[in-house]
Formats: sequence, C-alpha cells, structure tokens
Amino acid sequence: MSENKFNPKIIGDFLNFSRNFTEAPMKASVPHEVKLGSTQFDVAYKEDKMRLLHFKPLTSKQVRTPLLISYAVVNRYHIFDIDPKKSWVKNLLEQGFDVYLIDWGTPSKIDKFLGFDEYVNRYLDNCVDFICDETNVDKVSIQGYCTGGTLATVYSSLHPERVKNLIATAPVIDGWKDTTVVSNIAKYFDVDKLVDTVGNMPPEFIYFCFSILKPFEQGVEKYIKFLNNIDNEKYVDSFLKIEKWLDETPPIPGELFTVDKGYLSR
Amino acid sequence: MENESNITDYYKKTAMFWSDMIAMMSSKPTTLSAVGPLRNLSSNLKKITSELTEANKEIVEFNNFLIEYYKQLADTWTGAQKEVSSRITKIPQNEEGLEAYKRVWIDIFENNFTGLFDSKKFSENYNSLISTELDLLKRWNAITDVMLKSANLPTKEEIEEIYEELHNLKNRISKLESSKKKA
Repeated sequence: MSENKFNPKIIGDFLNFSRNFTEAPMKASVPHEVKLGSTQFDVAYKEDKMRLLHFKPLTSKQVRTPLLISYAVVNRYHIFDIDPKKSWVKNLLEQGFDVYLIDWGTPSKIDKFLGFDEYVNRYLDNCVDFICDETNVDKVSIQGYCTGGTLATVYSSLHPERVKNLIATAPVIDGWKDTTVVSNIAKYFDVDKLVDTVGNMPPEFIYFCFSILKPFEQGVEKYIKFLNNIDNEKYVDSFLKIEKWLDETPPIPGELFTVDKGYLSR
Repeated sequence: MENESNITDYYKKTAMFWSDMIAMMSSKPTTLSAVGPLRNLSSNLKKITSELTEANKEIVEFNNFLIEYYKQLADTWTGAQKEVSSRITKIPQNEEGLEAYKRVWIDIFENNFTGLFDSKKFSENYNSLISTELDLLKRWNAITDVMLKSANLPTKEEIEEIYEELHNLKNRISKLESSKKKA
C-alpha cells in the first residue's frame, strides 16, 4: 500500500491563501472608494465635458515652453498621476515643466456626433490657444498618449505653427497593421451598425477587447497575486488604484470611433 | 430550414392579420371609449406585434450564436486542460513543482485561448452574435418608441435630432468665435 505524502509548505500556502481571501475585505479598501490622482491642479479651461488641467508647479525655475499632454480617449488620465512615487506628471513638474493635461471626460449620448474634427480642431485647438494666451507663447510642446497621440499627431500636421515639439507615446497611427487578437475581432465587426444602434462605443466592449489579449494572466493570475500580497500595503494600494482606473473606461463617441479615414490619410 | 421559415412566415402572417383585424374592428368603439394617449397606443399595437414577431426569429439566431460561442470556449478549455494533464506527470511533486504547474497551466490556457480568439471561426461567430444582439436592441428601441409616442414623449429618433441640432449649433458657434478672434 502506497503512502500519501503531503508537502507541509504546499498546505501552508493553501491555508495562507484561504486566510488572505477571508481577511481581504478587512485589509483592503473598497475599490470604488479608492482615490485616484495625487498632484494638485486647477481646471484652467472647460468646454463641454472636456477639461484642461493645469498642474501646480513644483520648482521656482520653469521651462519656457508649456507642455500639453493629450491623454487617450480610452481610459481616464489618472494613470499619469496614479501614485506620487510613480507619477509621470509629478516627474515632469520636478524637472521644471509647466504641465497642462486634457481630460476628455466621460462622453454621454449627446456626444455621439463628436468626431475627429471636433477633438482636433475645436477642443485641442482651443486648449492650445488658451495656453498660448495665458503663458504668452506662440507654440506649445504636445505629448500625445495612445489615441491622444493620434489626435496630437493630426493636430500637429494641421497646425504646425502652434507646435514646437511633438512627443507621440504609443500613438495609434497605422492601426490596420495590428496583428493582435483585437484586430481579428475588428475584421468582421460592423462598427457602423453598433454606433447607429447604441450611439457610442460602450466601455464594456472596449474592456472585452482588452481582456482577450491575456485572459488568464489578467483575469486569474493577477488576482491570485493580489490575495497573496494582501499584507503588503503598497502593493494593495497600487493594485486597487490600477483596477479602479481600468474599471473607469469611458465610452468613445460614436463618430470618433468610426474614425474619419480622410484625416488619417492626410 | 425552409420548413422552419414557412412556419415563421405562417405565424407572422397570422399575427399580422389578426392584429390588423382587431385594430380595425376595435377602432370604432375605441374611438369613442379610448381617447388621448391610449387611443394612440391601440392604433400602434400593430407596430409592436410586428416587432415582436420579427424579434422571435432573431432570438432563435441569437441563441444559436450564443450556444456556439460557449461551445467554442468550452472546447478550448477542455483542449487546454487535456494538454495540462499530459504535461503534469513531468512536473515534480514538490514546492517548486506547484509554482511550475501554475506557470504551465497559465501558459497553456493563454496559448489555447489566444489561438481561439485569433481564429476566423471565433471572430465570425462572435460578430454575428453581436450583430443579432444589435438587431434585437433595434426592435426593443422601436417598441419603446411606440410606447413613448403613446405617452406623448419624444422618441429616440426625435431626441437624436435634437442632439444633432445642438452639435451643429455648437460647431457653428465655435467657428464664429474662431473667426471673430482672428479678425
């Protein structure tokens, strides 16, 4: 008769995991109560749902040309300032940059007709005008991130006289060359029908597309890691902030989502 | 398949026939007894019946695509689990082995599901599923519009007209402001 041997370490790990699972609600904040963003700012300009945030300087000497960050229309801007120790915005402020950031807001049904023209030639252009007037300069530097990089690139090509530097971080320029599983879904997807019926691109659908990229790493493993690290306050805080940020994906205006191909080909 | 279509057509025609007949038969007494929004609703019942009948066909299609969607997920899960089981015998039964098992499980599942999501059959079925869901949503919107009309409230189409009007007005104001600034 064979003898069953149990590794005490494995049993210990299992018991720890069960304890962490039970104690998690007592040790971590309620995700929706977690506060995002750490650096202080003023709302310098507002148009419809779009807000231009002006971050308070952290140095006495500042770079002459202001920096405008055009954030993505997917997800909210908080990831650039999610934690004081990992804040992209704070890092720029400490280097003496005068930082402005566009928060595109959360579009609703009334915004379904907003397209590239409004985002580039109205919102972005008005923000640049406002910054130039306020800081007495003719040009700004623009950092565009993700789809914000696409908008910034289009803006820079249409209004080169207003842009001193363009920093395009992970911009979507030639999306049709994408070979990920998302492009496979997009191949047979009737965008016009969706926009015509629902109005805007729903956040749940965007979230689905991101989820299929790494379903088990993102959907299973990271939550196991979270529970295993429940006693690590910094890990838990960072995890919950990022989870909340991911969960706050806004809808994308229908017209913008269908993408005016004319703009991109220019 | 053709037989199924004939049956659907039969029920559709029967429903339309009787809803029209009932609407016509009842129009005289309801003109006297039901006035205002309710009168409006009774005359619009035909539209609701028609939408519901059409929706039946789409519900069947939606169910078929949904079944196929879950079947694809379940088949991939089973395939991945089999692959994990075939590899598990090579993993030592100790502390490091548990970590290795977790890694192998995640890698195999990730690969198998990426393969599924990257396949034509998944994309086609998934998008047909979404498309049928949108068709159903359109029917639901049409029915809601009838109810809204009966309650003398603006329909989705009418609200969208206002949205578009507002959008165009905002653009005109923005262009005027811009040209004023340049002048």
